[in-house]
Amino acid sequence: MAARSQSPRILVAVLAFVAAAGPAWAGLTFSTDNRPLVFGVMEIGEERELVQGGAYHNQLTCSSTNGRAWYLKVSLLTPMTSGSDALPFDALEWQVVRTSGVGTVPSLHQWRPFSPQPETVYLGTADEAAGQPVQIELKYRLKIPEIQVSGPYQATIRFTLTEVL
Amino acid sequence: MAVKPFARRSRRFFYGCAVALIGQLAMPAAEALDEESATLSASVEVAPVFSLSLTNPHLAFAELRPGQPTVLGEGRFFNEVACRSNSGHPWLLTAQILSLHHAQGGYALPASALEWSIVEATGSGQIAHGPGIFNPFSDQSVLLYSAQGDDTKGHPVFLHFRYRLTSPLDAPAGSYVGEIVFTMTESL
Repeated sequence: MAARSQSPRILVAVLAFVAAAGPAWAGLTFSTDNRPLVFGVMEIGEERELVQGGAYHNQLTCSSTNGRAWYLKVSLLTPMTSGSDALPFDALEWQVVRTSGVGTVPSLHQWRPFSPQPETVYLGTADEAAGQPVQIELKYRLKIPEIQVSGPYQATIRFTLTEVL
Repeated sequence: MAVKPFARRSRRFFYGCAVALIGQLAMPAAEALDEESATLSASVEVAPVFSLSLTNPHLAFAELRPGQPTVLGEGRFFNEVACRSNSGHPWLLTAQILSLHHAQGGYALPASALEWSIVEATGSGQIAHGPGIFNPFSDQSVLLYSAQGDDTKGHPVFLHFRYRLTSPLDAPAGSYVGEIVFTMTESL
């Protein structure tokens, strides 16, 4: 009888710890509006900006409850390719046009060429790790070189949200 | 009384499990840095270009002396043919004389009486027979230029032409008119 009466106390203690530790796993969240970058048909030498309603093309939402600062990076995994032909990496550029956060945007309102190496889009502060979402809006620009084989070109852009120690 | 040893063992077992579980739960959460990522696709369709244009399309030779060649474009060049393709496939520039006959009809000069020469080309292809060499036209298509390399990726190719006409000794006096057709053809 005595053994039966002690087990529930241990179980309660474990559950209490799980509840207290819970936010450490659910802390970092990141979402996009999943709007692909579709530039349509472009002539060689043509330049086109991708924005919706003249403001931005993608809105990214980042939030953290971990109490740690975080940063958002972007990279172009491969150049835009069509068979064996490729556009140069820097033909595609990105620009942060607005953010709702108070963190640092290294290149606000400046065009930055895409690169295979991740580049910082936004550096959040520890104050922004209390759960409030931070919205970051971006637009894009593509310039087709004068010498470029015709055809459909595709690539994948990756955004990565990472905590800072 | 027989229950007590079991109770003690059972209690130790549960404490042991609890400590192990707490250790497992606590350690990763304290050490690991979190990371989230998302991908978006980017796409564009680069439009095809395949064009041919010609400046100064009227080859007007002054008065000719039979057997004496007359050159149009002496010194530099007479006209320019501009070709552009970004299909990624090689292409050829050919030309053909459709007619070169007396304005009043009847007598026709042989197509070979008129010759062409590409004095310079901006492309990375090959000028048939080499630059600056006069070659006769024909009533069949003759090859002028074979494109390759960047010529097939949209690099504009400018070809500068000179022409030379030599009338046969027995050609009747009078005006002659003719037509040359330049053709740009993609080859697979």
